[in-house]
Amino acid sequence: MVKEDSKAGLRLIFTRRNGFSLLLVLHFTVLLINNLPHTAFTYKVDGLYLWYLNLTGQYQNGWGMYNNPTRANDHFLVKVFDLRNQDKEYAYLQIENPRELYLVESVAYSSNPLQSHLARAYLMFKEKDLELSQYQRVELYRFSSSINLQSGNRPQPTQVWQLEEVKEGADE
Amino acid sequence: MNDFFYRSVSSKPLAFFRAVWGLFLIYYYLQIFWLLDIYYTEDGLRDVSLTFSEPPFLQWSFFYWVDHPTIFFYAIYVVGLISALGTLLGYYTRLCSVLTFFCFVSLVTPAQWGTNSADQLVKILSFLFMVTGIVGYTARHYSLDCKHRADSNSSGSIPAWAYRLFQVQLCSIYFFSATSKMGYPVWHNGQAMQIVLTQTDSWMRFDTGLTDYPAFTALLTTAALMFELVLFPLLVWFRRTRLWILGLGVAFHLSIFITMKVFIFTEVMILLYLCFLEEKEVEGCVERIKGVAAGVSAFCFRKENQKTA
Repeated sequence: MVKEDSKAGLRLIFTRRNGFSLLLVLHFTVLLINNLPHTAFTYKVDGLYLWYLNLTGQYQNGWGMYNNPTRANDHFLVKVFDLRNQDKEYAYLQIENPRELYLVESVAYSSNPLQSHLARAYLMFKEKDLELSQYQRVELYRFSSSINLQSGNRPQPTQVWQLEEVKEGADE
Repeated sequence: MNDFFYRSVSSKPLAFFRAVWGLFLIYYYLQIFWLLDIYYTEDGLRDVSLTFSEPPFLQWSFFYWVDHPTIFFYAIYVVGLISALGTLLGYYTRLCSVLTFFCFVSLVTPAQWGTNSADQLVKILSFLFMVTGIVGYTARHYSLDCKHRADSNSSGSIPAWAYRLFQVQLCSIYFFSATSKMGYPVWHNGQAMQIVLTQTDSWMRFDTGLTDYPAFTALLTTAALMFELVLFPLLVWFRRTRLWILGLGVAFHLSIFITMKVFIFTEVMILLYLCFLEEKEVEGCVERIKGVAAGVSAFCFRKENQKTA
């Protein structure tokens, strides 16, 4: 006589594979919800899954490159000049590195005092990067115009950021 | 669903993907050093980041826990580079995948300025490679680990979920990027690409001259939207269209790279395409790489001989 196994059905459901499938489905569901536009629903369930995304470094705050392209046509330049002869010897350097450009753009679009901190960090990096002498300094320039597809670009005021402190011995 | 997640597939493409991922990480670390240096120098931007914004709930970085980050920065950067090399060679792959994840998240999370969603994607990849690496699916071919293992020939297939993690992530990036764009008027009225192409002083590498042709730029706008919304996320799953759509995607990203100043985005997206390759295609790639390597070494050998003669 064959004995009836009352737990056979449960054993079929609670398998390792089914458990893992559940984890995979949860992972993809979280991915979906995290990428949905923010609504009352996503706000309500944020607390249930954000810990997972944040702990695992997977938080996705939108894949929004060029969602709403800026109408600013900014031209950033780094001016290098000599403290001993400020009017004559200077050069404007283009910022070719895209990541550097991105950092510099965040200087322009931040409000103070954060803007000052970012500008200071960037200019100090630039001084080191360009291996300047103790008499040379750098300034960051932003020449800008706003894009108008119908009537052409309109120029905007120029902005300048400079390092405030003067190094010892430089003011000779 | 059983077939989607658990179908037995070759582990070769994932192993190849892992090796290229390791190479990409080395390239990435070398490229981003200057920015990280700005953050983790004394009184650097890490402190500014902590002053101006609290890290989001449970987002972590080793650098949130230490007072003087500079020494730790160099240590973690070097460990990150070594684990990237280990990932490339498939040497202690499990350990390297965990170290890569830890180092990468620690280094990049506090870097709020100078990084964008492409860096976020690299962070996500480091997690997915850690998961697939820990279960031992990434080092069954093209690795030093598998050479040391006696049963390396018997472990040629793995469940498909290891690929699905990457594939669904890639498709969701395109799809949700497109749905997000659809909410903005410039993508509706076809002006988005014209505005982007007009940014000649900032984000364009050169003036393409296309801004004089609004009908063409409107077509480009719609095409980009359609590619992200429908073409890629849908057609990449079909055997007949897969390679065509991957080729189109590579062309799409290369054209962005050639005309616009983007960082890492092109490289990481094309890297992610590797998760859709099949065994034969990977073998073809490896044969070609071997052919090129053999050609280069033969050329060097000939030069060396000429010199000694």
